[in-house]
Amino acid sequence: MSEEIIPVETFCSYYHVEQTFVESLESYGLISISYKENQRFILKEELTELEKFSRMYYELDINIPGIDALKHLLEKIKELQQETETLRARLRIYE
Amino acid sequence: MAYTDYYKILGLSKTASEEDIKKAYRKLARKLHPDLNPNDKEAHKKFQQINEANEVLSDPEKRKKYDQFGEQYGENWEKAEEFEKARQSGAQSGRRRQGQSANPFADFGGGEDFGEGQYSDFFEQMFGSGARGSGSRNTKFRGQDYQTELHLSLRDAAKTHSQTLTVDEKNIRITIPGGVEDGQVIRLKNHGAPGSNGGPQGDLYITFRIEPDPVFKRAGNDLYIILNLDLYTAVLGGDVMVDTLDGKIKLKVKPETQNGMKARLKSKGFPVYKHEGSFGDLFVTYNILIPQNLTAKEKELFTELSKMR
Repeated sequence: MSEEIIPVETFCSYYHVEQTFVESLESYGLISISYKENQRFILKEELTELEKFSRMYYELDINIPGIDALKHLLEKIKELQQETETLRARLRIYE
Repeated sequence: MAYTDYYKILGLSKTASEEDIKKAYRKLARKLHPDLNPNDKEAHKKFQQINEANEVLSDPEKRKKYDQFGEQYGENWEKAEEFEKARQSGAQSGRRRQGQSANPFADFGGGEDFGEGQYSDFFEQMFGSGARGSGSRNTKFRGQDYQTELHLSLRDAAKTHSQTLTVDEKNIRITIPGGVEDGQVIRLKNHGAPGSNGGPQGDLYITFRIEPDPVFKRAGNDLYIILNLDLYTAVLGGDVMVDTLDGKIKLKVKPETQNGMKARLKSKGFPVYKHEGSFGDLFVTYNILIPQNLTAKEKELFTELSKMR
């Protein structure tokens, strides 16, 4: 189990990001932080998203509400892309 | 030797200030960043270009050199000073040849390689450049994930085989298990862009695109085929040969088979992904062909038949 979680402090020190940034993401519901023995942890499966949000925030100057909006739009794009692919595949049967 | 106009890429004039460059880069980066444009190759390519432009123009020293030599030396502007020095020393020692080649590097016989790949380090610094340039923070980021598409024919997708992909001038050999689906994505860990400031390398995501086949249509693990059947076999029954992925097999047609009827050939469809020995089914749809250009005798016989019903 210990391999599946990363302490928030470790993440922040490795990536040189402020802990308040991670906390803000959590307060917007963009990531979840788990608590264990007074320590905060990030789930390993959320690491990719967290890295992406860090790039958006630090490299692209997008604020947290902007990241929140983008996340929803990107999910919508992904769904639409998948739907297009499924429909295309179905269409090929009748072509 | 093509000249890349970094000012044009960022939509700036040559008199742009450092602040203008920063603003233009940020604006374009927000528009073209791969995180915001998943599966968009064009945006990915443009993002690399603006990164390269920003890398040069946001560094006063590089910008000065680029402004001075860019147009004259094209993509080799970074080596222009070395060339100038070598040319001068060549002239002093009397070795300078008469008449300059159109290519200013033509004089460097067997010297340093000035060919492509000059900017490979730009891509490596995709996320690190800003931090280093401004000296504000030393953020360590995982490298960008790469996205690519691999087009396969339906028949290639049906068998486990190896293919070599070229990503960032590196060859990557991958084994593709039989049964991959159109749109399926696989991840190759640590084959993306290098991390910045010591961050880990990104991953490579490969999306398979299965090209339509002229004979078979695929739906999941099942295959569909249309089989033209002559009227007499449809009416009286008989044996016909039908295409499968493994070649032709004999199919028994039942008497009085109707047009559009389907026959199911079990386990003759597509292999099930990562389930060796498991296959979908092959569905054969009969398309009955009515004879044309009947002879008088045939017409007579058909008439006779019709009167019997």
